[in-house]
Amino acid sequence: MPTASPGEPSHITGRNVDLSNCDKEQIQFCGAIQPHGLLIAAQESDLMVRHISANAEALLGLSPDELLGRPLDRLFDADQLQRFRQEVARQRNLTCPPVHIMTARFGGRLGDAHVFVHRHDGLLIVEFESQGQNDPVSLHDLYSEVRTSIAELQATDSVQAFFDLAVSRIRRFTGYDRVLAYKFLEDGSGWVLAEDREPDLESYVGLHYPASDVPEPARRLFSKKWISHLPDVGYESVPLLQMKRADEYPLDLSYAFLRSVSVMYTGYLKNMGVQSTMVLTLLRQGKLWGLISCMHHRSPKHVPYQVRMAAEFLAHLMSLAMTSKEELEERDAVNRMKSLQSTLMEYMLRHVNFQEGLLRYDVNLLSYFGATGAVVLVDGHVHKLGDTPEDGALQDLFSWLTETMGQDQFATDCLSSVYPPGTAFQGKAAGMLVLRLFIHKPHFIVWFRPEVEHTVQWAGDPRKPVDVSRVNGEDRLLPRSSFALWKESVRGCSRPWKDSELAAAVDLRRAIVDVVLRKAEELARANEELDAFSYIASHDLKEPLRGIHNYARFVLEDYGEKLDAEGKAKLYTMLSLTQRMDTLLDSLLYYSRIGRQNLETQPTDLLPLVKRVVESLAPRLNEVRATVRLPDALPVVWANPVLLEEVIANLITNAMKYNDKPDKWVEIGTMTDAGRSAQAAEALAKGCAIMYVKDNGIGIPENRFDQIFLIFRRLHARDAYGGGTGVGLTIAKKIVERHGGQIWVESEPGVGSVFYLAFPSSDT
Amino acid sequence: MRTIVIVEDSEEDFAAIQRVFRRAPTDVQLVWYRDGEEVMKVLANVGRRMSTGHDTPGMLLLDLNLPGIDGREILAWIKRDVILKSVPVVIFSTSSSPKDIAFCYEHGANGHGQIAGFHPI
Repeated sequence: MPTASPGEPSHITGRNVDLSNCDKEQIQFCGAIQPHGLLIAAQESDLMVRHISANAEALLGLSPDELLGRPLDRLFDADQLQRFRQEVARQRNLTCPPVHIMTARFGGRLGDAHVFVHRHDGLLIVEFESQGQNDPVSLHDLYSEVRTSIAELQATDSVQAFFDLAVSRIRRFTGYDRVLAYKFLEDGSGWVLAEDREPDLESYVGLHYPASDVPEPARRLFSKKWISHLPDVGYESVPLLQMKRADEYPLDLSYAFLRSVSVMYTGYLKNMGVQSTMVLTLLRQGKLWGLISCMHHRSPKHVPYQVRMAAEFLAHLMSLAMTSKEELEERDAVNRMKSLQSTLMEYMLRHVNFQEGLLRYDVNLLSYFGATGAVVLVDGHVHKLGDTPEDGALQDLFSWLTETMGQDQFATDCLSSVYPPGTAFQGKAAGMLVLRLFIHKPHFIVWFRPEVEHTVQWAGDPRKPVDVSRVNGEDRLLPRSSFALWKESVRGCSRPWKDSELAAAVDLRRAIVDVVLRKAEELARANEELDAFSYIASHDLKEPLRGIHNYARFVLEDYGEKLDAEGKAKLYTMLSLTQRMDTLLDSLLYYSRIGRQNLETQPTDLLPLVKRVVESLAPRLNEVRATVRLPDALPVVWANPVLLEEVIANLITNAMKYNDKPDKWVEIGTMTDAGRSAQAAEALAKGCAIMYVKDNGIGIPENRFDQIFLIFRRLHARDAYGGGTGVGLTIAKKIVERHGGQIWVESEPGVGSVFYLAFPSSDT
Repeated sequence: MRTIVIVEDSEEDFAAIQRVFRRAPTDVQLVWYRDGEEVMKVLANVGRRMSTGHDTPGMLLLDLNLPGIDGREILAWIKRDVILKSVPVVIFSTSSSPKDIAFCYEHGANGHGQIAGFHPI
């Protein structure tokens, strides 16, 4: 027994329930029933009456005191009693729901009545319900109605179509003013997904209700039975009377169909102008999935037992059919995501950059999950699809993700709760699903989902003001105010991400990583092939070239006297052209050899190495009057000294060659502070040492920075600046990259250039 | 008169070699083979049959890159043969690759010359 704290009674029942505690109300112990029937709880062994509803007098003409503590034979005649005993004995399992065991004639107003029994806690709970004045219902008609309904329902092609049809069929055979299908969501809230109603009634389709509208106790009770009927919302409840014994305890009415309902429930129904309801329970794998709620606005309405039975049967079948339809839809959705993934995979493989495959086609990232916005961030480039936050906001979001996100996947249906700046764009991006492609690189794929409120399609009139009336200082619950309440509760939230969606995202991430790796492999293989190709090609190209050269020479040697000066000059030009081509082929050969040969590295002090290079270049440096400024120290790096000398010689030669200043200088030093250079920062972070070669030469326009490293690409005329094959920097780059290093340039035309060389430092 | 066997698939390159030998002060006979298979067939009989025309050549000039059986194989084969291994073999090729040059000397070549062909004018 829980101890009661001063503010909170230990038992919440109809006497002390309000909006704040209705989730704890113990409706099953309400100790009262609805007045349209009679309830008796009797001991099974001797049929002694332990509890009886106070309306015994009115319905049977017998006072409760006459019955309490006495056997049931005061109520039944001998014949009926025998039938009753027989039926109860025959029903081994009479737990729930109540079983109709007989229809019999009783005295008083009860008259012809159905008798229902269920066992609970060693008691037989017996409920009597008058057959009433209604025309007897034909079971045959009901059966054929249910049978055709089920056949048609099974033929529907979606869960939505299923319920659209179900509500109209149920309305037709129950005669209610309004029938709606209500579905519970993961968070306990619910929404109206289908409705059939009298034309003059306001539509509730699309309305969402907060979880408190159908509180936990009500949901638990709904899940225990297929049907709940409240013929008259304005009923006066009838108390249960019990024997005045010390050990008597309140009767658990969980399964009694006559049980009185929560005043919160009737209050709500009254606010809506509903006078009678019948609720069918929809279960999926034993769990409450939703409700079919029938409402009558015109008058109280008693649904005869046979119709209720047919409705109950229909609810059973609908639960099964709906479950299989929903499972089918879910499987379809999973299959759709799978085929989507294979399509995207194909697109990604088509392009050099995988992200183009995700973005460029009609089938793209937005085809996933009903997302309304998607962003891909790769190598600092942001690619957007659909409705996304602004660039600035995205940059901030990505910085936050880069810092905080460790795992491969991150999903939230309420971004602003974990990332407060998200409030600014929660309308279009309240929910977010992020894939981080590589842990060490800020490459992201992001989907956005809008705030739930923006996605709700409500059939009602949006201009109608929300009705939050207060009566006697209490909030009067109405669907519209519930809706407003629910909207408030999901402010800043999106539809939640389903497990199947998260799994599909993980699959897609794996597919993307696969594609990226496959492309990297392809590139490596292509490079190897290219190296092999250029080696073979330059050999094979050399042979005919040599022939051309030799034959031109033979002509000059053998027929020189017969040629005039012009003829000879042409042959000499031919010779010099073959020579240039030979030089180009040699460069190509050398370039490919660097790519293929094994690289032996050792800790190499750059200072003596640079000094050796400068010494070897001294004659040329003197010739062009260029000075080289050397530092006191340079880093020690892992390198192949011979190759590295070549790189530095190339850079110093370029520095003095492409220089039109009278005082040419080349400065060599170490870069320790990355400043604003992203490349330098990355290199330093990787543990590289950076050396620079700076000059006051002619400089390079920024849009040519990449070009200068391409093979045979020259920025100037062939003979300008002393000529060259245009392969020096390409070879330098290849050598540096083979060391796992990097080379890049910063330059200002007319002022000078700085070449940076990052090499793995030998300290690390 | 000593013969010099030349294995060279390029007719133009052979013409160039011929010109060089024509200017040489000594009188030599050049025997030209275009591929490895042909030369190996002929050389296989050298010193084994008492027939003229199959005298041991004075020198072998071998191109490294040949169609089919390439120069490397021919070199290795000659240097394995008891009779032929005494014939000096000079490799000439367009390759200046240190790896190729090392291969030649390791397999008993007596000299290596790169066919530059591009004499300064």
